[in-house]
Amino acid sequence: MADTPVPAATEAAAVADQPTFAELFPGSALSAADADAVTLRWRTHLIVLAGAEDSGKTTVLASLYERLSQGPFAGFQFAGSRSLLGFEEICHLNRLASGGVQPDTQRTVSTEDAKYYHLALKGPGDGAVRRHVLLSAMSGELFRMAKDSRDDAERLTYLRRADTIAVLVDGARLALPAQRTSAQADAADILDSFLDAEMVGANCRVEVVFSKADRVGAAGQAALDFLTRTQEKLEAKFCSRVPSLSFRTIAARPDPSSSSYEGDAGLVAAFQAWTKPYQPAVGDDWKMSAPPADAREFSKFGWRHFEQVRRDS
Amino acid sequence: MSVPGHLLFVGLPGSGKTTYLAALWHVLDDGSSATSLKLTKLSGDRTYLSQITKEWRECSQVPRTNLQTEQVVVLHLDGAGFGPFDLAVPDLSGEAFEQQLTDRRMSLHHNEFVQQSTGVMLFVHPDVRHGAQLTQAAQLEEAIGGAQVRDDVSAATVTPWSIEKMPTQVKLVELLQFLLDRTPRKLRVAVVISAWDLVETHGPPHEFLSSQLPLLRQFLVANDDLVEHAVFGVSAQGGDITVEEKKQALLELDDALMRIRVRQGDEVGKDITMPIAWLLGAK
Repeated sequence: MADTPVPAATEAAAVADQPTFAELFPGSALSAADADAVTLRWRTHLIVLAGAEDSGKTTVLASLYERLSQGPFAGFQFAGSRSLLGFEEICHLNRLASGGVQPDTQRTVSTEDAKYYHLALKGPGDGAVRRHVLLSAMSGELFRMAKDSRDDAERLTYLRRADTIAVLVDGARLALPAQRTSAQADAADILDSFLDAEMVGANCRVEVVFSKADRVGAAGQAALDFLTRTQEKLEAKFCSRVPSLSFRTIAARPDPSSSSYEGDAGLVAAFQAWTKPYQPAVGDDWKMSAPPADAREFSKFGWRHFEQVRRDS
Repeated sequence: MSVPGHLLFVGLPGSGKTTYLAALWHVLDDGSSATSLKLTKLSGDRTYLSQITKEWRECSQVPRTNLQTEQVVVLHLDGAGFGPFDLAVPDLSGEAFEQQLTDRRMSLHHNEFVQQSTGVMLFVHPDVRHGAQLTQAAQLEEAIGGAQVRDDVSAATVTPWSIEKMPTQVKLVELLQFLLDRTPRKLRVAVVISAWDLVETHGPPHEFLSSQLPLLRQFLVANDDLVEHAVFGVSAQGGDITVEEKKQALLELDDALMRIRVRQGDEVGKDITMPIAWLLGAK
């Protein structure tokens, strides 16, 4: 049987339907699904920065990228990123090109789904391999919501895989007598929420990070004393639930006129610690609950990894 | 028998791709200077090459390639250690690369060039957009005598972020990431700092790259298992042709070949084929 001739119009339409472009990766901040894809492609290290509104989470992320943009940072060379546009966007308000006159940072929207920022890094030495890091800035509000709603809790399931959780305490609020007690309470509340939601895995490093340390220093001895008392109080409250809890101060974007301003202002040491695989002390016997069967592959991957480490140890 | 090779010229608008091609064609066609590569026979249709080379000889601004004027130039070459080969060089517009960044897609036409390419010449004009930070400006102000009281803070108009505002080094890293995603083999990348005469006092080209585009330099070094790179400074025009006195001085040279300067490391010469020879395997 002879082939039925294809009408010219149909043929033209078929040609028009052929794709003429190849899609490229989006480059913006990653959604949880995009983060899944990164995790499946490469072994990644997840760092979650949590804190109350304006505690400096996004400024820390932006500052890490800004430092890498100027040269090797914290012993790492920049080896790539799937979210360069996302990083550039959060750095915009600290750029002359923004038209602004004072450094600023785009805020994390408190109820928005978490976004992830990817970095490929290479350590020093000829034999060093590339490492992949995912960073996320999350509002404490998300964790509070997770305590009360199963839907909200499921949105955070993938965070069970976090290798490092840094809870930021806003140094600018510690510097103000009227706000310092609330800042302290916010940090305790966020840590409580994490633990209640079983977000802290066996191999997860947990740090309380006093941000904007230059502001605390500039506020005088009373503010510094309050910071010390806050550390003691949090340590006492959480030592039984988080045996490895550690503390540090940083100033990701210090005021240049501040007398406490020093070069990297703690960011180098912080990034080195956050990216280092954490080994819990012998005797720490935490068990992480299994994710639901319908959880994202990202979460299951993390859980399987932790379980394997636990069995092998 | 000729072995085909495919090179990809990559660069943002105004990065010197077409000017390099014009000077290259003049040198190959002239045949009198010592170069790593020589022309074995003339290309078929030389209309485009003749047009851009005429502008170059007259020290006029070589017209930028736009999306409508993209051409594939085929050069029949020979060189010690290479044997005769045909080299296809698509002269793609910088606009097309900008569009890849903003539209997040690549035409299948370009995709085909990427997959065929045996080497990439990445062109960078030294007048780079740095993405200067307000914090750096504040530190500078502080260092030179204390921050000024800003009474214009409230009047400042903050413009929204856009991809076009990204620093040059970020755009180039992103373009290289696009290429690496679509290239199944280790890629040779010759970074060409064009208009080298403008920055030749900065030291060797790789030091210029480290100081002015540190993110790009780190990316190339940290991915040395995927990318082998070398950095060249190329002055194809010989000087700033927008300054009338300099243009006249260049036009008065007895031989236009004298305008060309190429630097790799501490080696300075006039062989404009050097980056191509390196891409094809020369040390």
